[in-house]
Amino acid sequence: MKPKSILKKSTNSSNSSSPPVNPRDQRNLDIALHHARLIQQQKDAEAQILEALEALLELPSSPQADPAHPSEGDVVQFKSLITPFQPSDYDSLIEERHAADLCGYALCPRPPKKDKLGGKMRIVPGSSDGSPARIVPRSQLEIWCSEDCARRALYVKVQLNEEPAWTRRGGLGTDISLMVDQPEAAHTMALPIRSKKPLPEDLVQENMSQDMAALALERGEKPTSGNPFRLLSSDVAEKMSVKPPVAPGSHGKNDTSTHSAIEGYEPKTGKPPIANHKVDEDDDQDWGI
Amino acid sequence: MSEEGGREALKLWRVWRTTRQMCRDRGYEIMDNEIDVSLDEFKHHYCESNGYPDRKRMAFTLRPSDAMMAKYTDPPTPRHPEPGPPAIGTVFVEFNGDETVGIKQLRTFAHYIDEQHHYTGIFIAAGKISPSALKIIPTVLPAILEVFKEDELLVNITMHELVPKHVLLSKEEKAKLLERYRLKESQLPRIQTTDPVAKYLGLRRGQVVKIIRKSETAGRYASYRWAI
Ligand SMILES: [Zn+2]
Repeated sequence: MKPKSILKKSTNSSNSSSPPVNPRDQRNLDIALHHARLIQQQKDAEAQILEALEALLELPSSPQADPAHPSEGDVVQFKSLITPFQPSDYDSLIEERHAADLCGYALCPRPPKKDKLGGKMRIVPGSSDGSPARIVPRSQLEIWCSEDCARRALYVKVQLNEEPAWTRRGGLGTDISLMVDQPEAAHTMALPIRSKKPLPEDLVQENMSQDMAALALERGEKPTSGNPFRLLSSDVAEKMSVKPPVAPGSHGKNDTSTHSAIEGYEPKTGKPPIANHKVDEDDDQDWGI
Repeated sequence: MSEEGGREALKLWRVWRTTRQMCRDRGYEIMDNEIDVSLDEFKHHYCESNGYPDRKRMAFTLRPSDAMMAKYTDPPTPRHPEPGPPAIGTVFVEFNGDETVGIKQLRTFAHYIDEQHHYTGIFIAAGKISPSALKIIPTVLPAILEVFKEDELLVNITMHELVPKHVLLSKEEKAKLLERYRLKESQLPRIQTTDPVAKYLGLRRGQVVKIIRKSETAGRYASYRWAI
């Protein structure tokens, strides 16, 4: 026999463990279980990422591997391991590879570049593809074996999903592409940008002329002087016939101006090569080096 | 001998001594004359001819004293009259000079602890420790990994006059305390295992420490904390 309770009878049945469960208790239980499951999912995902991170410290499989031409097996492994990563996890990976004295790009077997000179900053000379010279902290350079690997790694990073793996719906995310998958991209600093649709052509034209006008104003250029604004004005559009029209967003085979892409779209106003050159020069001055 | 090497030796001599004091205070077997080593003697044993200390040579292993083992043994109960083995064993201490300590270094260390059947491994890093590396600590249980930075051990915080004495209670003492005050352990005030003194003593979750303070008005008084 159960001891008789001296407490007042509450409206909630006190023996809630017996079968006909109070609907409110049931709902509370469901909510608690739901949250417990979410926390468990998060823990599992974090454990999986830590495991993947450790596995990525073992790549590439061969010490003779070439980061420009990784082996099929390594690529498959790399892509599947990296998919649940957020950009911050990727930063952790780079940090871990550095601690293990490996180049930050996971498909590269070389040690990071180290120079014995002191000082905090380094000047990186501009390269032939038009990227300007830059001044960067030395610690940032000593993560990679070469500038190429820095680009390869960055190329992957920008494709990573910023949403944590445990809240992603419909699978873990899109397929990650490597720089080697797109040989023409290896020569430019253009990065694949996730999920940005190109603007309609006429809207771009309009935005462009507005932007160029604003730029000319900022630079104190008169509309009459020979400046990019005038070169980009409508009469130049006649020369579109120089090249066959290319769909917005797609890369022309011989195109070298990919670095001027705006949010994944490359303005194609049919500028004659000389005008193109002029714009580049102005860009350089804009950095004020 | 370079000046820089001399400075490094002085720093590591301090860190090494604090580490050994810490092991003594936890209850491992070590004589005072094995701790109070002069700087010259330290240099003689652990420094190279260029004056720089060699961290690899500074590693050491200690056994728990009988008193320490008793403290970590479950008290016999009517249901379990034969207490199991103590929850403590040998400790291995390693000094690492890498600029950054990542997963790789800690995994190697954990592997060594496991291979040599040490109960606890204490890893003392000269450089910074990556956040991911610390995440592997719970994955290597039952081996206990503890990570310190050299800077944390430059001085012995427990010797500071404002730090009260912390004493770990045995399981038996803890049971008696709770019984005497009719408390559940969760009703005690808490101390985090990441607290500097808790870290110094290697406190584990669920253990209780007695904190003895001196007071001008009340003489000495004790309080208790439950480690979480
Ligand atoms: Zn590399």
